[in-house]
Amino acid sequence: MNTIRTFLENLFSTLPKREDVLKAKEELFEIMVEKYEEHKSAGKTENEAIGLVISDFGNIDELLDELGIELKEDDELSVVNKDQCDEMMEAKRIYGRFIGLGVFLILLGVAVSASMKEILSPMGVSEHSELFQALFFFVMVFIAVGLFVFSGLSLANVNKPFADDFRLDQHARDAMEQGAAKYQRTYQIGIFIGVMTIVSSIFFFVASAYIDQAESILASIGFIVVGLGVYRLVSNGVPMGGYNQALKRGDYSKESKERDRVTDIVAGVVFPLTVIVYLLTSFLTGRWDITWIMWPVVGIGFGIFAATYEEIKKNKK
Amino acid sequence: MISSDVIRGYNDTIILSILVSGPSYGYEISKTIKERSDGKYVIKETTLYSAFNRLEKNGYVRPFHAEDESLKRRTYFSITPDGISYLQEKKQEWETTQEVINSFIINRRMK
Repeated sequence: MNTIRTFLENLFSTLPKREDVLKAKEELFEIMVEKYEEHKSAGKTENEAIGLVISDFGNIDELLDELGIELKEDDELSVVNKDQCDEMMEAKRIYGRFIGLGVFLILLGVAVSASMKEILSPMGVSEHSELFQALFFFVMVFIAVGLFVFSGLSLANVNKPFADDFRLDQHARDAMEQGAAKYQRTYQIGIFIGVMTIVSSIFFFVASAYIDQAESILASIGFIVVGLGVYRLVSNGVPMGGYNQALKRGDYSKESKERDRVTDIVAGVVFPLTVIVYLLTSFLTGRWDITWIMWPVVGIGFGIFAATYEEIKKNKK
Repeated sequence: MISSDVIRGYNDTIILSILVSGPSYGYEISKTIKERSDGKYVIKETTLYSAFNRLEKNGYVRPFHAEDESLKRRTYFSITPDGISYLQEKKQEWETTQEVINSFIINRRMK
């Protein structure tokens, strides 16, 4: 019976894990096991029974045609070697740091703008603080966007071999699997530290609501702490993404690729919109010390949305 | 043994005609085919499953889960009204096919 299971698992291992495919596998297993038991009770040996069942199995191509699955032969795929993997991973590490830094700078922009009055008044500047708030925020966004664009462009080229269907050569596969296993620990620690850092920022936000004298300063520190956490998450997450991409795991596995990316689309609308609303209201009201509240609200709201959406989707399956 | 190429177009018909006498499940159907054909036709598992899949998609059979006498849970298939009328069509078609082929390959008396 185990032999039949192994036979089917091997045969189906390269197929997409779609619902109808999995159903086919189970139905076939059901039929094969009964056949096998019948042969056994007719006095056949274990090996004979399995041999008979497998010889009656037929041709998997027939099933693939019926289910509308087209498989690319392995030799039709472009081959990626170890150098290309190393190059991509190096670019991912830099990309992770730059994106993390960019996000940190934007948060720093929000943080400093929120406390601009408190920062400027000891320096003897009490007028035009609104101007400085806007200016500082824009400079930060400008640098961040520069970082995003630059790192995106430098990644694009080395990412090309991994964009379409590809396969790693043996050497590259071994190296990437080893690398991923090694990185796993760094990654987990990084995620833990990042999440804990972000969670600890709640302390500053809550304190800012209670301590009136230092309201905006505490919120600013909160934002900087969030920025540090995000930097850690992104700079550790992106290289892991590189390994997953090369080894076609996680988000890069076949099943995931086929999923539509609703959360990505929503994020693409919600966050730029928040930037616009944040800037508009801040300019129109001049209340940079309070408008920052939008960010945690949108961030948490989006987090809840994304988590719920994924959960509903999973349950539907 | 019969070649699967020849019989391909009639697998659905064979399965439906077995289901006319009551719901059945994969292994039982495959056994019935073997027995009724005196072992001349053994349907391959992939062929059988592909046929189920096709018949289900076309609404000719309806799958349901049930337990048999030994309390084993199985996927049974029952024929639908659409399946019955499709079977009638295919029976007609087979009659005609038979006539046509026979008219060529059976030696006719010289007139």
